[in-house]
Amino acid sequence: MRRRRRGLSLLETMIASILITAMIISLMGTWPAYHQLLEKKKRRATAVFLVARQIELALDLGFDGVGAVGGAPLNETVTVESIISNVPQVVDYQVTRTVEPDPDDPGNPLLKRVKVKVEYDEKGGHRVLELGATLGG
Amino acid sequence: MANRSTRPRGASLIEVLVSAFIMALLTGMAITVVLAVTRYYHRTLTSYDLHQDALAALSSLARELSSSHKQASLVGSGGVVFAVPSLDYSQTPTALQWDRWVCYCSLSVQGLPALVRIEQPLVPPSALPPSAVPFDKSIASFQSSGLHHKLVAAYLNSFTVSSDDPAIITLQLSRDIGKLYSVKVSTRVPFRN
Repeated sequence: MRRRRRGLSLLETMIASILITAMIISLMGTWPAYHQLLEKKKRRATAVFLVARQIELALDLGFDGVGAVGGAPLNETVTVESIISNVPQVVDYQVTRTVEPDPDDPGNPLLKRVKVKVEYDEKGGHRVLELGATLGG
Repeated sequence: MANRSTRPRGASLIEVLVSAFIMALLTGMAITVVLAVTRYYHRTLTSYDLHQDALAALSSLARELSSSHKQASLVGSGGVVFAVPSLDYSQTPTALQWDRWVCYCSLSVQGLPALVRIEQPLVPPSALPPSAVPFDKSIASFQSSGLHHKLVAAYLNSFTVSSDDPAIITLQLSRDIGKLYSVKVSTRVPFRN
């Protein structure tokens, strides 16, 4: 008995290619979400960098140099402007460094808690990142 | 009995042409997507590197400049020169000793505009900050001194420091890889000593 091997018809091939195209297009739809996620991570990394830098500066200044407990906070604004193809995107990072009593031993004059807060905006809201270090006198 | 052929039928010319066309179309789409992803990856990496380099350079400069004194600093086109103290542990209590001139300026490094840091000793060291930056410590003299320089950031586009207190540092790095990527960072630096 003769068995004829039938190839793919034009219609089948067309349907398959339409499906593949639709799949590629839907995959490309995730592009903006991926880009947005990268941008968020970039801002977060910048905030972490700025917090770590202020903590490092406070440790460098030492117990006496960092300022008195409850003294005026140190404020710093770092502006980062990314320009891609002449389209600027500006992010302001507000850095605040305060010196407080150590929360574990508030009455101890030989302990200071340095708190650094970085605030910035991103799509989805206002973000705050806080980090602290205890200095001993 | 008739001699019936058992050979399978080959594809017709039209079928081959249509399938070749579809394959070419799909391959073209795939190549376009791969190229776009590769380009995007490089651009993201470049922009991220520029971002980090700019922040690190700003941080390094802000930290050193804040340890200086306004009268011991000189701002000019393309750079800043200032005296920097270090802690003198031979004294009790530990005291500051102004012992270095530091210059942050633009310089061409391997054909690329870059921000560099050049250091010269302050002779003789003093307990008080210098009242002014001497004439021979101009930015141009540091740039042409041929002294060892430390690369702070490459791809420098612009660098300015205001002569106010707090000083405003603005640093811009730019790189062109098909598209122009630029990162501009700025901050205010109060003089601490």
